[in-house]
Amino acid sequence: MGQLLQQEIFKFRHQRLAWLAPVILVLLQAGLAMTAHGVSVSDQKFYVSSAYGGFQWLTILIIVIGASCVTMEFEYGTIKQLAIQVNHRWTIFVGKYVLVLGYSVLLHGVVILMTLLLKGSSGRNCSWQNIYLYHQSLLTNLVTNAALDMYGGVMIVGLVFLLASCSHNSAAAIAIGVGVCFVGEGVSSLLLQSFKSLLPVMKWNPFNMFFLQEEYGNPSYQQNVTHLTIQQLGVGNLVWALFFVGVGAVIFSRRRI
Amino acid sequence: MQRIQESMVRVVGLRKTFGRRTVLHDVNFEFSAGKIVGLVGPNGAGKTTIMKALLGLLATDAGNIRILSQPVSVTTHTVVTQQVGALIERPAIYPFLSGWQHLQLITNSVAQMKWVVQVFQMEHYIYRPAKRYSLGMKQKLGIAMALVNRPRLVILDEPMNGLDPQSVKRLRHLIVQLAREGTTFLISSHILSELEKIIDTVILIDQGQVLLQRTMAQFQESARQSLMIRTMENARALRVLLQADYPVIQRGSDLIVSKPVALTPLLHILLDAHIQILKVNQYQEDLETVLLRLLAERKA
Repeated sequence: MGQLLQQEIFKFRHQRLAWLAPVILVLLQAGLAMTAHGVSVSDQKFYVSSAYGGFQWLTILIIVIGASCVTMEFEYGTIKQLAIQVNHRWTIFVGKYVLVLGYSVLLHGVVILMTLLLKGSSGRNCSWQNIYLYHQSLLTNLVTNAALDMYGGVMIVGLVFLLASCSHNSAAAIAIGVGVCFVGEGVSSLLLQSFKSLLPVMKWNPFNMFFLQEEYGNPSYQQNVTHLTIQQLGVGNLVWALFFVGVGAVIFSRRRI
Repeated sequence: MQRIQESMVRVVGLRKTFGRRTVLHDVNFEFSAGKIVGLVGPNGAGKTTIMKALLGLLATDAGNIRILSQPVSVTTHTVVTQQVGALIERPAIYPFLSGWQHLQLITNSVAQMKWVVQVFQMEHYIYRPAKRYSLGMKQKLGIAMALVNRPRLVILDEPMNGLDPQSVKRLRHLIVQLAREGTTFLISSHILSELEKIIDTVILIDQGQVLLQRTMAQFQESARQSLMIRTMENARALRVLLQADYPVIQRGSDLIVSKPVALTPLLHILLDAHIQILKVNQYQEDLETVLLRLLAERKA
């Protein structure tokens, strides 16, 4: 597994997107920080705690990277070379999953660092020590948001990997991945509102788990949208992540090459 | 003392179906270490499927594969990971990596990488991104990747695809040289004239079945020989030879004797009849002709 992971890192760091993603993130965060110039202190706190939209952009980038990471092996025909090197093909899948999660952690670090810099230049009228949600400081809110986003990414990447394993080209996998992850939230809340009698079961649907980080930023979501506590969403995310990775690994292993 | 040859590959009763279509029927063959084996047959005969099964890339429905006496399946192919290099269908190439980086993915030995780059004369483009490679360059890189670890068994599926004649010649020499040093090769190719120059054994596949496995020496024995004679008076020469019970026919301006015969008595007969001989050529069927004949005979 170690050698496989090393190979994946080697390939990944030679891809343009690996170096371009942090630059794109930084530019998008800076762009939003510029529009947030002169807003009220309360809004500034929101922008800072959400890393100037960095977490949302990061999710899109991770979906793109995750989907292409899996499908490229089938597109380039390199899966055969990889499969010869290992006894169990699922180890390739898990290796890639670990790589993308690791890269997600790295990007979250970049997002936090950039938020610190942007806050220093454009959000001087609110302090890091200011109390924001849950009677915690703004800095704690930012770090907690980042941690929850990373944690939520475990399921999102798992779902994207599962979809990519069924797909024949990266463009389709990316489109479906982005679509499912962003439309999924809407579909989930619509279902929960429409089928109230099925709520006890339906609230555990995987799309509802996407609200983990948003519920932290908007505590009212528990009553109005998800009908689950943060802790329940956390457990749900983990269980669905394991399910997606497990099913994805089986599909990946059995795919004809 | 007789040298016992180690069995490199042993395939017994291999069967594979895709849906309702059976692509391999009870495939059996075996070859020993240090051999160059040609796997030949028409398109869709099952050559690539056999190669994939040998590499543990394909689950089979029945049968047993052993490489160096170790079992090979989709979930158990440690021997493949350690002792086998392969190029299957098309080179496994990432467009964003250079040729050198591809080799780095496979081995840590810089000496081995330099050796393979030099052997295939890839020095002037090895550091360029592979997306800028031509078909032939990619093919050479694919073969280089199969060889760089100096595996004991090398499986090459259509290795001559896209290579220029000079590269084909260089590859041929390299394969023969490595085989002398103990490497075993299993090669499939449609360019039978090239394959014929290097292989020791041929395995003929058609419709998922092994039609025959023969050494090249056995093959040459079974290849038909014929004699072509051109004279100043072909009609009279034909009559004279038929009278002497030679199996001869006239084809265009030549007389064809369709069985191997002793040349001197035949020439004596013609010379005694005062027939002037213009040309005599002896032909032996090549691999391609023999294989096509065998396939046609099977269909008939």
